[in-house]
This record gives sequence, C-alpha cells and structure tokens, in this order.
Amino acid sequence: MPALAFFAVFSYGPMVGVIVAFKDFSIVDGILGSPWNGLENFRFFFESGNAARVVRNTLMLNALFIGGTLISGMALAIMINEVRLRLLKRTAQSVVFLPYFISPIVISVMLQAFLSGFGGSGGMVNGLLDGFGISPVSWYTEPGAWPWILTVVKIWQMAGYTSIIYLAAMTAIPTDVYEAAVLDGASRWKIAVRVTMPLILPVTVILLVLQIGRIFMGDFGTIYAIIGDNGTLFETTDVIDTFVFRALRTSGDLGMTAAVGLFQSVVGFVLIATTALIARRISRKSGGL
Amino acid sequence: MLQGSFALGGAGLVAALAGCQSGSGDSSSGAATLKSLLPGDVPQRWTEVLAAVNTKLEADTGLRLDPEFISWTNYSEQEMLKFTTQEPFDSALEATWLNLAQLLSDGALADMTELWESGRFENLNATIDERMVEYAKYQGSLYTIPLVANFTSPPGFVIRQDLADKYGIGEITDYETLEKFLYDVKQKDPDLIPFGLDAGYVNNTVVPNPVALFNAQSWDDPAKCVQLLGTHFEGSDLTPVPFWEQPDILESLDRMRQYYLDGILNEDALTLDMSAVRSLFAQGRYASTTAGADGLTSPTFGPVADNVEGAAIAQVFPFTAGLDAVIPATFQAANNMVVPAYAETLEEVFEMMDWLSVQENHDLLSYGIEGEDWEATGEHSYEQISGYSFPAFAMSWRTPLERGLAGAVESDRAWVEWTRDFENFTADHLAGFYFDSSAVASEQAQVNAVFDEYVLPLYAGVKDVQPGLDEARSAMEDAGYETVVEEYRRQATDYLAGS
Repeated sequence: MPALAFFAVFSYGPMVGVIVAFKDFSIVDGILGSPWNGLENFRFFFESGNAARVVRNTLMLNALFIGGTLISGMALAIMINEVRLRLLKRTAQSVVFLPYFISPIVISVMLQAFLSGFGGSGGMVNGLLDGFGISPVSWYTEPGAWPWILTVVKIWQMAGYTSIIYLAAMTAIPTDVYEAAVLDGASRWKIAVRVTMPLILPVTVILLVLQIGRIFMGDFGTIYAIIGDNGTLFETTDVIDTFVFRALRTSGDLGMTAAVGLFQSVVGFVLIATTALIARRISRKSGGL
Repeated sequence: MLQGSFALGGAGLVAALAGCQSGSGDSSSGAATLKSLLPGDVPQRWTEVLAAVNTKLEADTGLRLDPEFISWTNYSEQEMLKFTTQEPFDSALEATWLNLAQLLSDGALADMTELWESGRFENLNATIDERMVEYAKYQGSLYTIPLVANFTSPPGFVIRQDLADKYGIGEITDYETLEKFLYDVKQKDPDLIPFGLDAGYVNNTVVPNPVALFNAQSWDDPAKCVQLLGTHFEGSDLTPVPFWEQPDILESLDRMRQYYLDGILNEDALTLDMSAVRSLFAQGRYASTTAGADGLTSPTFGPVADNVEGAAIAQVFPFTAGLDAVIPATFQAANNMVVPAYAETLEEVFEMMDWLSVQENHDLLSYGIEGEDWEATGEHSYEQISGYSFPAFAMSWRTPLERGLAGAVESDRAWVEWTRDFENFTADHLAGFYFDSSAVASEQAQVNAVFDEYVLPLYAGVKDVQPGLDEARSAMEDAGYETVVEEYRRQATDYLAGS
C-alpha cells in the first residue's frame, strides 16, 4: 500500500503533465489553460536534423556501457572470487566498489587532468604519447575517441558495483558443484568458464533486461559533467537527455522538451516490455528466474 | 532524468494545473516576509548580516527579507519552474540571458509602471537612472527594475602588467600592442599561456557588441551592436547581415584560429568555466584573461600577487580611444528584479527596494556589517575585512551608492568610472527592443542548438575557418536561421515604426 501511494504521488500523478507536450505552453495559462497545438512541439526534435544522431548516440553509448560493465563486472567478480585470503577479498571488493560513489563532476575534473592537463594539450595520456614520439592529441576537440573514452569511464565507475551483484550470485552456487568439477580434473580456468559463468547467467539476464529497458535513457549526469556544452564533441556524445537539457536551457520551452521526453519514454516503455517478454521466454527455457 | 522535464512533480503539478496565489509569509513577529530568488551560494556570515538587515528593515518598514539562494548551475531552470508552478515568491533576479524574453511574452511579470511613476518611492527613483528605466520598458510598460552599477559593461582584459613592463611594452592602449604582448609571453615565458579563455566568454571574442576582445576593427571603431546569432541589422530597413558576411568578423575568426594554432589561447576553452580560468590566472598560469568593467577586476585578479612574486595586474580597455571612447549601448540592464504577475506583494517589494536605495541600508546588504565585514575608507570606497560577498547585482546595485574597493588598481577604477558616465554612450538604433521568439520557438531552439555546435568552436579558434564556416552556415540555414532572423526583423521594424 505505501509503495502504491508512493508511485501514485511521485510517478503516476505527475504523468498528467505529459499533455504539455501537445500544448503551446504559457506560464500564465498553466498546463490546462494553454492552447493545444497538436504535434507542433515534436517538430523541434524531428525536424532539427539531430534526432537521428542523438538517438543513434544514445543507443550506441548505452550498448557500449551495458556490454562493457557486464563483461568487466563478471570478469572482476570471477577474479575476486578466486582470491582465497578473506581480508584481501574484502579489501578488493571495497576498492573496486569505490568509483561508484564518486560524483560525475569529480570524474570530469580527474578526466581533464588525465587527458588534457593545463591548457588542453597536456595531461598524462599526452605525456605517455610523447614518450613514444607520438604528437599530443587535443582530446577535447576530437569527437572520434569519445565513445570509447566514455565507455572506459563507465566501466571504471560501474564494474565494481556490477561485480558485487555477481559475487552475491556466486555465493549461492552449491560447493558440491565445484567439488565435482575438481574431482573431474578441471583447472581453475575451466571451472570459472564452465561452472561459474553458466550458473550466474540468470543474473546477467536480469541485469541485461533492467539495462536494456533504460537504453533510451542517456546517462545525463556523467555525460553532461564531462562534455558540457563543448559543441565539437556533440557528433559522438550528444544523447537525448543532453540535447533536451540544452534545448530547455536555451529556449525555456517546456512543451518542446516534454515532447522529446514523451517520445523517449514511449520508446523506452516498448523496449522494457519487449525485453521483459524475451527474458520471460529465456527463463522458461532455462527453468531459471 | 527526462521524465522530470515534463513530470513536474506532484505538488508543483497540482499548482501548475490549478494555479495558486502567492503571498508573503508571515514571520514570527508578524512582519510581512519577502521571499527573493537569488543566484549562487549562501554568503559567508549570511546569518549575522541577514539578522542585522531584517532588524533595521522591520523597524523602518515592517517588512523582512527571506532570500532563497539557488545554485548558478540551475538558477535559470529552477526559477522558470517556480514561475510555471506558481510557487509563492515575491521577487527574482531576471535577465535577457535568463528567461526574461519568455516571461515578458507570456505576461508572467507584474506591471510596475504605475508604482514607478507614482513618486512614492523617491529613493528608488533617485538611484536608478530614468533612461535605463525607459529602455527597460516592454511595449510601453515597465515590468523590471533595472539593477545597475554602470550603463554597460563591455568585455575587456586583465593582464599581467609586470610582464608587459619586463618586455618593455608598458601600458597597452591599442590592439597591436596587445597582440605584441601575447606573442612576447609565448616567446619569453613559454610556461605561461598568454590568454586564458573560458566557455562563457567565447561569445565575446569576435562578434562586436559594440566591441569584441579579438576584433581589432571594433577596438578602433566600436560602432556596431550585433544583435542576434551573430547577425547585424543594418540601415533603416534593418537588412540582416550574418556573421559570415561581415569582413571584420571573418578577419577576427582567422586571427582566433591563428592564435589557437600558435598556442596564444588555451585549447580547452570550450570546456573550461570562468572560475577555473580565474583560479589558474591567480596561480600565475595565464598572462591575461577577460575582465569586465564591473569593479571586480582588482579583488578578483589581484591575489595573483600573493602567489607570484612581483606580479601586478592592469585593466586593458578594448578601445583605441581609451577613456575618450563613446560607444553605442542598448541600455538594457544585464540584471533586473522582477515580480511574478500572480504575486500580491508588488508594493511591498517596491518598499523594500526603496529602503535598499538609502546608502546606509544599501551598504548593510551589499557589504555587510560595518566594522565586522567592511570599513569605509572614504565617501565612495571601502575595505573588506571578512569573507562576506552578497550578489548585489541581483538586488542592491545602485550606481550612485556603489563603493569602490580600496586598493583597486588605477586602470580598474578609471574604467569603472567611465562606465558610470552617461556621456560615454549613445543609444543603439535598437535600444529598448525586445525580441519575442514565441512565433518561431521551434526554429529558434533548433538554431540555438546548431549555434553551440558549429559556431562557438569557430569563435574559440578550435576549427579551421573556411570548412567550419561552410558547415556552420549550412547547419544554421537548415535549422531555420532565416525564419528566425526575418521574424526578428519584422518585430524590430514594427518597434522602430512605433517609437
């Protein structure tokens, strides 16, 4: 009951505001009093020439983030699981979990020091390149590398968090399965690949379903903190959320930004429903979940 | 995140749907309390200063102040949301660089004309120049109280004068000498970056309004106020000339690109904010950066002397004519106080603003408690003795009441004085005109997005000029640039016909 009330007040109630996407919003007239304007607000996004690009970037970056964090999280969990020394295991878990709590703003400052240093063409990475006789790169004006840079940042940020989920799943694997594998002469590597990984597959499916459902939601916090309003990087980094935020800030038009938000939510809902159906089928077949 | 952009939140939505009335809260003492929206963080010693302000304000007028400080990063969005949901508040900082145009066109602001002209608020009338008020009017009525410490504040430079002296340059009074200084720094002090540019000031590098930092022609002839998206509206028929057809801007773009390639500018201008640049200047890493005529040059940049032995600063005016320059201005105040149309406390806000227009009261809020936060060092100067720093531009700026900081460098003090003399300005042909973009909102939003992406990098020297210009022009035209410009021209023509 309290949960229902919570969602009614904070999720379902405010959804009435969606109608502003179909109105020529005026501050004085309010949402109900503002005149209807059909699909005019959607024109801003779909005729901007940026719609395809920001949708593509949102999907591509999220695909990289999902793939990167799941694979690295699983790899990290398997490695930590192999540690026998209890204290070392605990310490490793805490250390890899730490980046999850670091604010995107702090990450952006760290990244600037790492990639560009003082003046924009310094930084540790350029120092390293210089050591190999390679010319420094002005990272903050070159859009090409940014999907990969953001993916590395995301992995650093989230791999530890994901690994904790996997480690929790691993503790549920019966020890006799491992004992049987050892008796059969399996190496540690074989055990990890043939026993551990298949048995934590249901967790991967759950994580995948949860994240694919949100694949249309850009990681606004991290991306905006790092990229900001640097137009030279928009080609590969501008996602729906950052695009809408900038549009709202410069035009202040709630109707237009609500229209994009509605489009994002509808597509997101379709994706969640689809992945949930697929996950159900997979779980039926595997007898899990 | 995005759901939040249209799902306004339970309580706010109810208010936005139904509409609700604002009103002053009542303090425990029964005095009417005015809630003002202010940008930035709560100042140091705010509790003590606010208590002193309220004690005196309540004794004099029966009112109390209860400002709400909203972080700079989301002041614009927060304020708009409060207007939208009709949250009860009594006044707010507003500006053309915030939401002023939309609030005016939506009729969301209280009409102040009658109260301003009533003659009942003598102190307020006396301390805000009537000409600024005239140019602040929208369709003949006053909806904003202009907050002004000067008539306009063009972008200028702060430079390391000790370096200029070391190179034998002396005082910088023209563009050629400035350029020599920048290249001398590069050559003789290679650890320093000659000029530190931040993302906020990229807009001021090449497009004159009426002067631009690196537009040499505008230094010699600051006559052109470029109005919209780099477009200048020329002649009596307001022929729009885009920036890619203005020779002085094209020349300046080439110059910016050369500076970028020669290492005169930092390469990360598009990602650096103003505070980062100022902090690096204070550490002695930049030899020059942007500094306006707001009286803050000395306190903001002077501390470089604490970190770098022998460092000294000077303000450089971006005019070859120096203090004899006479420039066009729109006289639209950069900062204004507004009152929501739904508020019922307009008269109380005027009383409070009138009270703040008395020297003693103005000083109390602007500088803090005398003897604890500041000491008077003359009739119009003061020395700061605590960390108290109130955003006076959002409430208490009054040209005749402002005090200069003791110990300000002479060039800083002189330029501030220059900006406070009306004789140094002429009214631009479009002074007093507000553009209402609601008819072309979709195109305006699209063009703004394109501008950030394709034009600002050119202004910062980050892109090769010719391919960058071709790309920018085509993107701007595809986004609806001509539609926006034509609408602007139509409204401006109507405005001129009616004035």
